Amino acid sequence: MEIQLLNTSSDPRVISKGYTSLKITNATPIGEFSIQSPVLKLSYGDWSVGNANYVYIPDYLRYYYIDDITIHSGKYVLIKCRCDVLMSFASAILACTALCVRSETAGTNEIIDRELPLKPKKDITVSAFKGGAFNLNTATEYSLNFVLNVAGGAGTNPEPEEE
Amino acid sequence: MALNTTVYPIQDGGENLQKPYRWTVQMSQTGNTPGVPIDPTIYQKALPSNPLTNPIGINMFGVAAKRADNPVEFIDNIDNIFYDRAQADAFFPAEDISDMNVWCESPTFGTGWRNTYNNLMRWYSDKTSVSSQYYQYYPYTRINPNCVCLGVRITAMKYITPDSMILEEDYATETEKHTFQDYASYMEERENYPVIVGIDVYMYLARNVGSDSRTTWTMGFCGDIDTSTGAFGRSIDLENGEFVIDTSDSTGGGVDPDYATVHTIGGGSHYFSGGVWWIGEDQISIHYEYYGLQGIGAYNIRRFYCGVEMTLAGEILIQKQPCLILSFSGNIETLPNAIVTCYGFPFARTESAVQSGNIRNNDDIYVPTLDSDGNINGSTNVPEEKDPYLNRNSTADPNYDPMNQDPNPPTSDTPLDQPKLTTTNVFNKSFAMTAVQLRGLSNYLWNQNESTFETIIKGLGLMGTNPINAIISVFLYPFEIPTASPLTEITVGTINTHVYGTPIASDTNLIFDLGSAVYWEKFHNFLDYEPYTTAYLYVPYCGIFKISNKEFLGKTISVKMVVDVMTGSGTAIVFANGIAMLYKNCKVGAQIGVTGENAATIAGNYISAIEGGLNTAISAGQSAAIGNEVGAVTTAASGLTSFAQSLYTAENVPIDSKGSNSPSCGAYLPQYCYLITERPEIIEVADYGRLVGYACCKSGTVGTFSGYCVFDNIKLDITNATESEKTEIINLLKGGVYV
Repeated sequence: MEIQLLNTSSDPRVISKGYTSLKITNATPIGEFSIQSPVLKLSYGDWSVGNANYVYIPDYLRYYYIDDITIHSGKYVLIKCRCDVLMSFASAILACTALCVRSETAGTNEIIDRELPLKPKKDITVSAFKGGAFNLNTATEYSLNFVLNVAGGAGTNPEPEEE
Repeated sequence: MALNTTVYPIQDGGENLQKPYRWTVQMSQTGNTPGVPIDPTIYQKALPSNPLTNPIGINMFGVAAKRADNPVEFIDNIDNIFYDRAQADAFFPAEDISDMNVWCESPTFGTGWRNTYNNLMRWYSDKTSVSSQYYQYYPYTRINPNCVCLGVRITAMKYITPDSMILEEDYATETEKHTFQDYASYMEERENYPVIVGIDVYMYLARNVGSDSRTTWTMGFCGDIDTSTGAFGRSIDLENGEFVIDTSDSTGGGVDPDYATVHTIGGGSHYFSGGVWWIGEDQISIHYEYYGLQGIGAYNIRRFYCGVEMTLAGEILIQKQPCLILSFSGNIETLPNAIVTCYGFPFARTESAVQSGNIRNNDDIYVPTLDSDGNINGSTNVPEEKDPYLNRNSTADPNYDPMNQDPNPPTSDTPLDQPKLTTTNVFNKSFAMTAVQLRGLSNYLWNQNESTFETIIKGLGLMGTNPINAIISVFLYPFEIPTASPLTEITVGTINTHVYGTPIASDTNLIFDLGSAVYWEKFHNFLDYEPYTTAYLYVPYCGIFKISNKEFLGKTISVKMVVDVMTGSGTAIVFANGIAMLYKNCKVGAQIGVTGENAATIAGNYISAIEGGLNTAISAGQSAAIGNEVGAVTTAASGLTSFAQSLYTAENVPIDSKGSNSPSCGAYLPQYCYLITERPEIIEVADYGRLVGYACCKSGTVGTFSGYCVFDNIKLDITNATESEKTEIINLLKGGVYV
């Protein structure tokens, strides 16, 4: 069957990966395998692409990482593939609905972020209040800072007010 | 829409535009993204008082909001309120004040209609536009459908740039509807592209008399706005930002009245300044610097580099001066919508439209509508079902009913009222004394003078006890007693001492202000709250105690102390924006022993309190939760409130504080309040967003997000994937992918 040998430098976690198409060639699947991990046999001449690390198999409608390459020099090449589910189903994944819990760009400062790295030491600031009625720092012996409470009695009282 | 070509001079707004008010606020946003809400604090340029050559004036009138304190609030962050009560309140009956509903989004309470009391709300024009940084400010507006009419005048000039302006191709714009490719093109086309030189806001009032449908409005009056200080308590910074018209050129030349010949006082990059100065026959332009108004919708922000400078040799140099000129490409229709989306209130384009009162069926009144994503657009002839005020559907709170309101009127402050009757000077007498006077009294009572002694003996016979026992107490307070009574001779028992003191009247105001400070909100996110940020307050004679961020954060913390001069006790009240939130009892009067027995009793009481408090403190310390805060201190248990304490207890380590702990010792401690805040420090990691991402809680299709994302609760719908592949996909999405 026809396969496309590709090269990608995208992080495996990228959904829609970019890739460079290297060669379209024929390959033969070997033995029994899961569609997620096929083993393909290519003729040595068909392989002739040293930097292929990615494969698209149209028959399977999937993209694959090349996990391993076994070369039988001058004869054939076996490539072990592993399905890249993100790229293979990128359109459907991008269309699905989900809750984004962390984001590079859509983060909001309203959510508690327990993964935000914080230093163990805290920044301690002291802010003095402005204003204040206490005067002990400036009072003198003539300041009315003392209160004398005496029982009953009276000093010279003013005349009682008329009702 | 036909353009109103009349320019209203600043000082005279016409019959219904009394005393135009000019907002002078600061623009904090420097982004240039259309649709992002404008930081409503925008410094405005003062427009020249005389009509300019070929000006185009466009008068817009909108409907804004009123709450109990202010008709309109443009606030740059949700926890700062700067505005004083507006005089316009007098125009609104009580029912208007109590019926305040806004549709908005609150970072605390989510979206939906809420009562405005203490819920600071805001409009978003683009809810998906969020920053990956944690320090973004979100401007917002309070909206009230029972509204104030807000008139906005936008004066556009056909051109204000001097002939010598050189245009550079380096434009800082988001979208360009028109580009002047070069100076020649600009000269040809500039007359078709008016430039907004400022937006003035006229305040006048209308009252909704059409109940909920907001279909009928009664025009009111424009409040008595003091333009020198700014309406509604908003002061204009005359020194650093207010624009003045200078008809003389300090450098010696004249000024062309056909240009915006103005200059700033003090300058500064936040202000829009510009103009042409003439020096003799030469022309010098100063640069235009303006950070404001970028966010108004579809308008193009152009950055011109311009400037001409004279050298000492008289040569003309072309200098690049950064400037921003807000211009619109002739589509005046988009401006009201832009205003609506950014400010979130209904916007009428003509005065007559507002006076008609019908916002439902009027081509000249834009009403904000809200879509399912929370985006606001302005539309005319909006039916009731799409009116956000009447539309109860909210993605966050679909069951919220704006008609179901709290019947209790909100309280904005809890002032301390001085009682007219107290225990002071009723059965006993209290005197405010100086140290000199007290010594005089002591000298008299313990005088060995024979005549004094006989007087005392005589008094003993009359009283049946030692007259000195008539002295209840003597206290030293850390404040002067505020009394204005005349000096009165002190009688102890039946003995006239011939020593004078100042009587303390029963209605003496013994509420003392201990100052205030603002609890600054640094991060504007979760880091400002416990346990990340903690705060402690020290109050003299009360010690240090922890305060709750949710009650005090971002607010003005003020402390008052009420004192009982008879007992020396005090109660400190801690306010948050005028609302009493904390009460702390203390002993603020240092009692002075009058006799030996009396002094021993006093000392014994203090020691007992210390030992009892110490035991409690030790218990508290040992049982305190082990945390990783260091240096946090609290006062001892409340059981010691009858005797003031200055014990300090570390949260993890018990304190051994044997020793004198009387208020007299407290006098040596700080006599002012201070606020201790412990804030986290973030470790700055390069590419943190790219590698780890920031916490988020947004739903949507995966493709609408970008960059590194971690997903959960994934609704996967893939027809041709195996179950194991689907499981793998879900696991990968949960582990983090790059969209």
